[in-house]
Amino acid sequence: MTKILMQFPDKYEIYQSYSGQGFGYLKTNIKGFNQASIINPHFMLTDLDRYECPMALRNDWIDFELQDNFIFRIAVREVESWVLADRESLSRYFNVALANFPIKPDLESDPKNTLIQLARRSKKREIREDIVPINTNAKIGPNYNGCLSEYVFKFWSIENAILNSESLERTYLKLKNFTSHKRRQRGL
Amino acid sequence: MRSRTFMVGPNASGKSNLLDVFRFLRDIAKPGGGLQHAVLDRGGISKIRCLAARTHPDVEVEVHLSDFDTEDVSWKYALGIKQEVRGYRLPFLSYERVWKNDKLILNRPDKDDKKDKERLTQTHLEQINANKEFREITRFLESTVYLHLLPQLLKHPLSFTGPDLPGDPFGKGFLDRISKVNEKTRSAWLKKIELALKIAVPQFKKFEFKEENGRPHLEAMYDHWRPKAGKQKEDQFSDGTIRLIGLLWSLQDGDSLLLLEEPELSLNSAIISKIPALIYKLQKPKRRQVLISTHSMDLLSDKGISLDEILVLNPSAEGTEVYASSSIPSIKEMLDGGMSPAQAILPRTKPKDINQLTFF
Repeated sequence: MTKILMQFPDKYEIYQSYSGQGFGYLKTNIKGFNQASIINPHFMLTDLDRYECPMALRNDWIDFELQDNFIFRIAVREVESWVLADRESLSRYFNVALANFPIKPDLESDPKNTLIQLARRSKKREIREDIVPINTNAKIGPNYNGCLSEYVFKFWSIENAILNSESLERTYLKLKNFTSHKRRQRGL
Repeated sequence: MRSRTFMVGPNASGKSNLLDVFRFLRDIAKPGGGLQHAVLDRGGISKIRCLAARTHPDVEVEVHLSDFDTEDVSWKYALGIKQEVRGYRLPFLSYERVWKNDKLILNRPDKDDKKDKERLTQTHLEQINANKEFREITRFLESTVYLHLLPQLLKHPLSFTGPDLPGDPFGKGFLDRISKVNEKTRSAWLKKIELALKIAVPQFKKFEFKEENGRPHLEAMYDHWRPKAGKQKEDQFSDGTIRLIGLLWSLQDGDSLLLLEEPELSLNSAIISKIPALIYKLQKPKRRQVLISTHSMDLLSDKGISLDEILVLNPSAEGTEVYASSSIPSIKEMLDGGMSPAQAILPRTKPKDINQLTFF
């Protein structure tokens, strides 16, 4: 999210970030963040996960009126799809042939798993060890988030990624066209 | 600050230093204490002054005291300290002031101080001859209790020799403290703790205070398949058990200002979430103020905590700013939307680049 917002350095300044502990946390607290948007704009990003479509998630989560300054976006299917969407640079980073990467990552049913499978083929030992789970009792590797966020900060390019992910493109446009309502504009 | 105040902030933001302000005043006020002692124990003015301070800094402390759960300030005490620029570099007072109900009753340096500069190396607070008019302040400050019990000190007292620290902040002499309380009170308090431990510690059965060869000990009985077995002394207690005993004891012992440093350490999260209510219950009858520093999500998840009971410490280049969380409008709105204080506030205390911690 930080990386996406960094695309608009003049527009957004991150004032405070609340990093979730998964969708349960976001679902419980969405009302609180929506309410806080009365004071200043808030941007919330969640994974679609097992919901059928973004609308289904919206209906399930939101039973109140959304504030104008609350930007709520859903990554289809997971934010990993967006990471996969910059195929070229990820293929370089993993050192895995480009042909193995999905062309439409939004359509992947389990992008996390796709990503892990790709990392498994990596010729770099460090990447394999960080991202691939140590055994079947773990969902992700021991430094999954650390390794991927390092990649996102250093190499991932949103310009390349929006070409392959419609869901990312929509979020990008939403942020680009967003104007803060009433109150002064002051980061998120 | 409210009668129950929680302090949150990133590491090294100054939570312990904020608590130390009250210990510092205690060290000045207590019998055998005094300004020189209090400053020297802390390694001199250069260790006390603000990290962002310029040359010749003044260290200033001002406390406002009011009756329990009221807003009216009945006493104000203010203190400014400087260091001699030559000679022994002793600390001396740049000012000392006392207000009673907003009326200034002490204003130093006065004309006697001007005649004799030596007088400024001591506060009036520490002198019985001089503090007659405001002894209430002295009494209050000198009885401040600080607790940051380290189980290891209690389990292996012989491995940590050397002079004891003033006020025993880390609980090395915790058992002696228990043994000094008269027997009836002691067993009443221990009974209460036993009740709590029975709930908190599985298999825990009974709990006794014993003296062996003149040394005080705590002995606990655990469920055991042999009816007479399962006894353990404090050196075998778990860290959490010891810390819980320490917490429950200190909440009952005394009625003065109590400073608790991260009471959540070593405890199970279900127990931690009950601490705020426990503090409230035990402080109420004694009308006692408790200040708590914490990092704990579980502790602050209690929705009974008001936003003005939580102080947020925010370090910046010119020192740390402290504000009540109720002064931040978006936090208030988040609570209206059903979030707990912990969920609304604690993410604000995390370091800015925390995500990059795993990059190195």
